[in-house]
Amino acid sequence: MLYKLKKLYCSLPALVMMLMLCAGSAAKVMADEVDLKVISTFIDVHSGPGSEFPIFHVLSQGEVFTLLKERTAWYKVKTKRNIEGWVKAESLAYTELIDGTKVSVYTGSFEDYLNRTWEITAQGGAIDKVTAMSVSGAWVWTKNLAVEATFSQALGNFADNKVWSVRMRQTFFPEWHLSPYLALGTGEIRTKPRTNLVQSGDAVRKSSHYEVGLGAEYYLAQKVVVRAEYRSLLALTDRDEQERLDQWMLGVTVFF
Amino acid sequence: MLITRINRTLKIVFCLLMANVLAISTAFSAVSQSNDESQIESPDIDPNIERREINEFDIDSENIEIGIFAGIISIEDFSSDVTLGARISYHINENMFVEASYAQATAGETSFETLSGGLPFLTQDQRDYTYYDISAAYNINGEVFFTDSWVFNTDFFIIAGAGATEFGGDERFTVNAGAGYRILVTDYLSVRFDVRDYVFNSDIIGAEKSAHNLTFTLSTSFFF
Repeated sequence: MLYKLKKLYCSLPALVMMLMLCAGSAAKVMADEVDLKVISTFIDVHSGPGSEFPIFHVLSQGEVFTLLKERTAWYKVKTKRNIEGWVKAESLAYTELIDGTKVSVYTGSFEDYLNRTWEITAQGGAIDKVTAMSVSGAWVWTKNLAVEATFSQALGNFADNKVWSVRMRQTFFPEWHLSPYLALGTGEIRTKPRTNLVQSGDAVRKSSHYEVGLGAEYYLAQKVVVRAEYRSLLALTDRDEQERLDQWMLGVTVFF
Repeated sequence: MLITRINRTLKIVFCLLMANVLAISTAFSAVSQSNDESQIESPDIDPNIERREINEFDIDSENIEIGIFAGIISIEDFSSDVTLGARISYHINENMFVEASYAQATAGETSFETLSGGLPFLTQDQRDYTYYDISAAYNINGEVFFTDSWVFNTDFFIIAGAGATEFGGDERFTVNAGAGYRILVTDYLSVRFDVRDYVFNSDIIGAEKSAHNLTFTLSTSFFF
């Protein structure tokens, strides 16, 4: 039982990522079909959800078609003559609903980035010169403030370190493409010595910590943000001295 | 005694800092709100166009792919074994996806153990081989034509990432790289073949070296 639990714990970053992705998908529930009318001269229909796929059909002005589903800013459409294909999300700007209402779509553009609610980040880097990786999920509360939960793991030659933290992130200029932020948080560091070190014993050392982070986010492309950060961790150990750790991370954020 | 006092002081300092952040942010949002209001007040432009978000209609959005895979992993020095796992991917745009995967296998014996018939290097528990990773991939989209009318969308992708492997009683930082080919049987069902190399530093059988563990897997997955 304990062994299984341990195994589960080891795969936590992957599990956390999976759960967060599931949470993201649970928000949208059922499919519904919508009829749209072309108001520009024409709209290209591709054979697959990507600009590389060939254009095999054209929707003409005034034609009414049905939206079936969406994938990565591409919409699957069906014409009245039952031809199915994919159109770019941006082309839907040249359509309207049957009642004449204009439509707009979520494409993960910079405007969508400014109005995001959730973020998932995967990063790689170093904690005190030991290779580290981390995953985090954030709820963007206001334009300036976000609440974030982070899990980092650093697997060194002497120990396996796991760091949990919950933190508050303050973005100073949210409307900037390259946007700096400050984060304050608290959590726990778990250190387990490697089994090849005979003297060290097998005990897991736990200590709570406080952290200060300074970083920047850069809006790169559709739905993708690059994030670099420096964190200073202060571990509250049982020993006479507090331990300070430096963490450098670079990674990618996906927002919803 | 001294430590608890330091801890207490730190906690107080921390709370104060948090309170400060809150105060600053409320001030900031207040400023930005007042800016918004001043913008609304200017009556020069009135587009008067009603727009509706497509998302309001709950059009089925299929950017997440969940799948299971099976295949063969060649564990360096410890022979090959069947590997089973699961993965979840998120398709960011038409050319990129990120995924998290978790899989397990059981390591066999080294040639030395088999030949000598003697002392095993590892206990049975230590032979359990589990690995996980978070990787990013780049798609090269395409189509495959089996006949004139039997056509499937496909993609060839290159993938790389990092994670950890638990083997021999320790967890080791593991990088992986490889490539794969995916055929979309329908819009939501895909079959995919992956070749990946998982590399970690190992000192299990003596001097430290980088161990290469090649995997060949076949998987099936659903988009939803």
